[in-house]
Amino acid sequence: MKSSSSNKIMQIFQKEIKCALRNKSSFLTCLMFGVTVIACVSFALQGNVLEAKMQASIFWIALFFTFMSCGEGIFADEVKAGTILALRIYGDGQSVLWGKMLYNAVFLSVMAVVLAPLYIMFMDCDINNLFLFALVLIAGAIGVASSGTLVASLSVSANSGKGIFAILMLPVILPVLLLSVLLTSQLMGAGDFEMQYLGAVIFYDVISAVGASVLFDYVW
Amino acid sequence: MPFLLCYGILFKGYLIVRDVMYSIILKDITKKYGQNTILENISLKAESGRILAITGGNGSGKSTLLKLIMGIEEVSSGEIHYLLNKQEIVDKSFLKNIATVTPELEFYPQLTVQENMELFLGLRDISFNAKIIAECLERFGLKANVLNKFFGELSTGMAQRVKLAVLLASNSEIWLLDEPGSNIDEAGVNLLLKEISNAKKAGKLIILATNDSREVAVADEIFQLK
Repeated sequence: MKSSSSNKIMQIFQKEIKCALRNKSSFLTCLMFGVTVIACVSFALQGNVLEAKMQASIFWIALFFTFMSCGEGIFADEVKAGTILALRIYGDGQSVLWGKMLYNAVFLSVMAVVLAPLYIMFMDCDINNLFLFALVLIAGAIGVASSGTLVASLSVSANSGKGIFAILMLPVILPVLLLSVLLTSQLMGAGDFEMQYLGAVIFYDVISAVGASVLFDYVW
Repeated sequence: MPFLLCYGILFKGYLIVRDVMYSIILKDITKKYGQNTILENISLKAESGRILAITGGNGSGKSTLLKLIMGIEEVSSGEIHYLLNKQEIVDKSFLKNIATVTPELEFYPQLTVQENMELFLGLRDISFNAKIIAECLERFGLKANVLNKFFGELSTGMAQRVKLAVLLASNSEIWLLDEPGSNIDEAGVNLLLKEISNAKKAGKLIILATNDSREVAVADEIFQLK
């Protein structure tokens, strides 16, 4: 990738970060969504400890819906504000896609890193290997972010309102979500950690990012 | 490039490169949204060094026509040809020569004017040069201190002037202007008309979608949409 392309990607990424930090409501909404899910589940359990597979599932469901509550806005908010036209006129599709994808990946990774300790504490989880746990979180977050960015752009292009994002997102995201749940449950004590599944998540990340890049020019 | 620069001369801040000629040709363009026909069998030609004004009542399709030229919308039927020195450019690279100011164009309200300019000019590989930017702002009646203000804090008139300053700073060879004088006071419109005339003399291709008689008056050709 040419240096000018990487500069443009970084400009889009920095723009996303600045806008998110200056308009805290979107960030805080997502964070509060995740925290509320964890608090509600913890309260409902009243001190009982769930089995590892259930713990992993609830954690990823919380993360998935946290992303769902903000992910669609990555393009829809631009359309609503009228800034998408400026991006289309002055920018090029690939820089916009990769910049936004990078932002989504960082955003979701930060969410995962913030919510994970809370979840571990409230749900009384045992993590066998924190390094691998962090790796699974980040790899899963990148997969959700990369495919989520493309789906968000598709839902805006389809001009079909907010419903279509959720409908399109589920089948696209299911493989990485199921693998992430499986790996997390293994790290929480449900069997031995299977490295090949982590490889599959990383493979999904690469395929979804490259696939998004190839398809994005058609929707931009 | 050095050869091109040899032929170039400076005219009021514009680099005039005489051997670069852009043309946009529309042939029998029709645009429909569902059953609703917005434009029907429109054919026109615009080229460097000339101002084409597109006029017509509300809903006549002026803005839609500009969006088709910008590549933001797809034509329902017909063809748009982009030519550089009479050679057709078939890929999207041509669109990178286009800059626009339309009522639908917005910058980021959470970013300062400088951050917005750095972003949009940076996306065109133009580094932010404070001196040039200050000059562009000044040519639309703005002072350099506007750079530190958040775009969302600007009045609609000032925001419009900032958008015009970005257009100027982008060095684009093709200007697509949709009611560029809207929300600008009399003095601002005069500055705008002066810049449009300067841009024409500098060899830029300008398409103006407007019903403002002052803007129409600077045009070389008028295309009336029904």
